[in-house]
Amino acid sequence: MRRTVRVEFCASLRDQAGRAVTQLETEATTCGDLYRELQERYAFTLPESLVKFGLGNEICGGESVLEGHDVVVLIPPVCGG
Amino acid sequence: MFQITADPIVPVEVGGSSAGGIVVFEGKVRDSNQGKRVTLLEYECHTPLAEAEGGRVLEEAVRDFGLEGARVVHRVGILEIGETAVWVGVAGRHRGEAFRACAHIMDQIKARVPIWKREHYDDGTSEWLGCHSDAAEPDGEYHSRHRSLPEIGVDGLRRLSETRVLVVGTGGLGCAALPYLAGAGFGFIGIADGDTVQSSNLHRQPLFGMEDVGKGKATLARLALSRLNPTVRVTALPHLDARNIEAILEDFDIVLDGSDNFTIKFLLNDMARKLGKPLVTASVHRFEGMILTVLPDPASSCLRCLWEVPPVDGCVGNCSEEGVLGALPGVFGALQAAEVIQVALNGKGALSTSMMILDLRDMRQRLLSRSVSPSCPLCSGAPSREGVHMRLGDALAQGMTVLDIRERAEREADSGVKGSVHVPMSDPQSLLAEAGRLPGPFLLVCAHGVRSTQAAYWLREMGFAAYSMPGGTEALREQTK
Repeated sequence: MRRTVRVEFCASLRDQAGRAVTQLETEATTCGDLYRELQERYAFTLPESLVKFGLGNEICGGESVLEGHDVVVLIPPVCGG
Repeated sequence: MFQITADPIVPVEVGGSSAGGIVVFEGKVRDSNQGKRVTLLEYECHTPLAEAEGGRVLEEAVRDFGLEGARVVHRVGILEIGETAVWVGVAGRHRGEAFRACAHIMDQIKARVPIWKREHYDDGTSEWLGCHSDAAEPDGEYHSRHRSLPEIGVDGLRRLSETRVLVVGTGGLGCAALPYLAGAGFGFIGIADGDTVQSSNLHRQPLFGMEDVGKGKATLARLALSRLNPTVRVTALPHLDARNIEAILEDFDIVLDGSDNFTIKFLLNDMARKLGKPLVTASVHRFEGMILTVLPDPASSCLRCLWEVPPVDGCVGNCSEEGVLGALPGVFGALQAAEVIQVALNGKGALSTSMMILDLRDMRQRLLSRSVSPSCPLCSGAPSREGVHMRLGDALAQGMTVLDIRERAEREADSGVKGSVHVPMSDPQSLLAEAGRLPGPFLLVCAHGVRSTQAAYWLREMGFAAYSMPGGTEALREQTK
């Protein structure tokens, strides 16, 4: 099923995407599917296993289903101090 | 009168003709402490502060116990075994209040007067031991603004003064957090950083100046904090690494992670988990940062719940590669200090089950809840996969039961380990039943050691102590050829 989601990028993913937000139509059912789709579009270098997703008020992994959410936050690890 | 002296103590006169009971206590340098042989003791203090606080202790005791007089002489400098470190003289109308007041004064001195003791041991090592455990203040006003806060108050100040905080890294985060920790009157602050100051650090590390370029950061930070709060004890420690981290963390109650690489962040996460120490960690990137707290509490997830395998350093860039807004680590270091103070006060952090992400470009803040990952190697209670390999000789020496998990045809071709019980892995129900029936632990044997390792992991998940014989029966046959 196609759905429209608003994707918000944090930190290094924002840098690589060249934008803070994008809106897209996707057939992805999980966060991981969505990341792989975006990875192709923006040439993200981080493997999916290192990306966390903000759905609603929770941090979750790639296996989480998108259904019921129209905003997804992509959160890479950050290490600067 | 409370007197500090660098000379051997000479008892003084206390009380007049109205005193019916004089109680004198002498604290001596003892030759051992907590199982270690002590050779020398060294006392150090800031004399005006110690005498002022000691004077208050005596005034209160005279008033509260209705004494005729009370005097204390405390030695500083290097003392040998058997020398007198402190002398307390109390004069009361009757012996009862004099005895009680003398004990009370001694307790108060240890709790309140800022005098530090360094024990030297016969193995050449030495250690500073805090003699006071209450909030020492440079003057009576220093902590007044914290004392006024109902969330802190007198009790909170005492708790802070009894808490030892380790700050890892004096980069942007550490430089921002440290002054607030020193100002809050933490009893002991450790600063772990082996780096020297570079001019490119200064826009985000205001503890240092241009004249400090090239000098060691931890020592400079220690000096800056002692200007800010002369009563706080600060120690400069080397860079943390896998070898020293456990010994260093053991000495502290709370850890503030201001490091700038995943290797240290995950070492800290793992060791804080292992030792049950709260960890407040933050990271920054250009204009954005994240902060979270890991508490020794089953509801508080850890970094490995988010990233089971630590990211490789360099995969997302760092401050030197990507640039960073100078004020950003200032914001996050101050948040970390606030969180550490709250953890010290009540054992709870604001961020123990969540993570806060803040972007200074639009000042947008996200508070996302974290939960324990069922596959986290540290938090899920998943059985250890460590040390699964065990040689046959060692297993037999420990009386283990050997389970041959090869298939029937394999065992017919090669009888394998003498005395082993045969339960093929293709029949997991029987394997489980045998493991339940026979005495453990179990050494599992297959042809090459691959299946037996899998089976050992599986049995461990089922709650059995299981090991795998590396190389399997093939290796055994090679040895006996």
